[in-house]
Amino acid sequence: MGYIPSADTVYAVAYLTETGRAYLFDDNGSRFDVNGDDLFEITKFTLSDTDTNYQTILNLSTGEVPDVTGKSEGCLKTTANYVQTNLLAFVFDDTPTNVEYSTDLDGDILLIKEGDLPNKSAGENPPAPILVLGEGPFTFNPGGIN
Amino acid sequence: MATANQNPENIGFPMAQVVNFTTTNLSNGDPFVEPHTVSGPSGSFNVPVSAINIGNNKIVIPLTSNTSTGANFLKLHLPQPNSSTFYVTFCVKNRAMQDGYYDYTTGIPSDYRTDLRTFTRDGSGLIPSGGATYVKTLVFQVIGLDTNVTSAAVQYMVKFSAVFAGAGTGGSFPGVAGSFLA
Repeated sequence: MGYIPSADTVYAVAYLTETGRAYLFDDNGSRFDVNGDDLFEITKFTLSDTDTNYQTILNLSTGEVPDVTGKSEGCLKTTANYVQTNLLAFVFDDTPTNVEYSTDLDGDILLIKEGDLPNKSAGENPPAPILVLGEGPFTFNPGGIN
Repeated sequence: MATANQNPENIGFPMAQVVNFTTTNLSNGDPFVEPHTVSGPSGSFNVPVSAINIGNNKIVIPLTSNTSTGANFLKLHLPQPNSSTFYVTFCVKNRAMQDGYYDYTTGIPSDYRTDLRTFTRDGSGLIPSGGATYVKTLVFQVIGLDTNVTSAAVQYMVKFSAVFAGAGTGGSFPGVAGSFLA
């Protein structure tokens, strides 16, 4: 949960993981991947309350990242280099809403002419059917059991 | 152990007929990569089509009223997850196959051709003396799975055509498959 003061200016404080800091300062050329994509770009965020521990009045010091499990009351620095994968996350939605769907068909019609279908080759035969119990012409002899 | 059919992509044309779908982002004109989902089929003028769902994303349509083992069907391969491809193959009901239907790969047997012509002709009346081409239409709608803009759904059709010779020219009468002309 958060508290927004009534002042005109609102500050948001972000804490970076060790990996985030490495990306920020391009440590050993780590910031950009082989495709040239900026790994420091924020692509996901969570609305869950992972950065607050109500058991302490202390604020996080610079460089500290909270305990994402929420199970360690006195622990503020637990994820030195951790890729968070199992919490609800939201990806910035760039899905277009103004779209046009199409097919690769001329006039959106697939015309299948029976005359264009070749005759089956002599070598192609469907597999022999599997015998299924209950389908055969079984008979029951009512006098067969003593 | 049941046998798997060949992937329709490997069967190839004409025994696997294919439709590919695309999405264009009209805000910038760029293609938007996404899988697609198909609904249908219906017949022309929304006439219902007898169809049977089999397995995941596959539908078979009986060519005649016979739906037992050995009967002939059309198989519609709807786009699989992460796919934008639709296939039509020609199959026969066969319990040895994993999905219950064997896809022909080299061609169709004569009984299948007869059933397909009957299906295409769809109970039409006497063939004119000059012969006639009959067309059976299946109608589908497709949208993108991620964008999901139903108002932009595009309709496409799969049409089957067959040519019949006319009566009096060595041709056919109702219920009888005519000779092939073209």
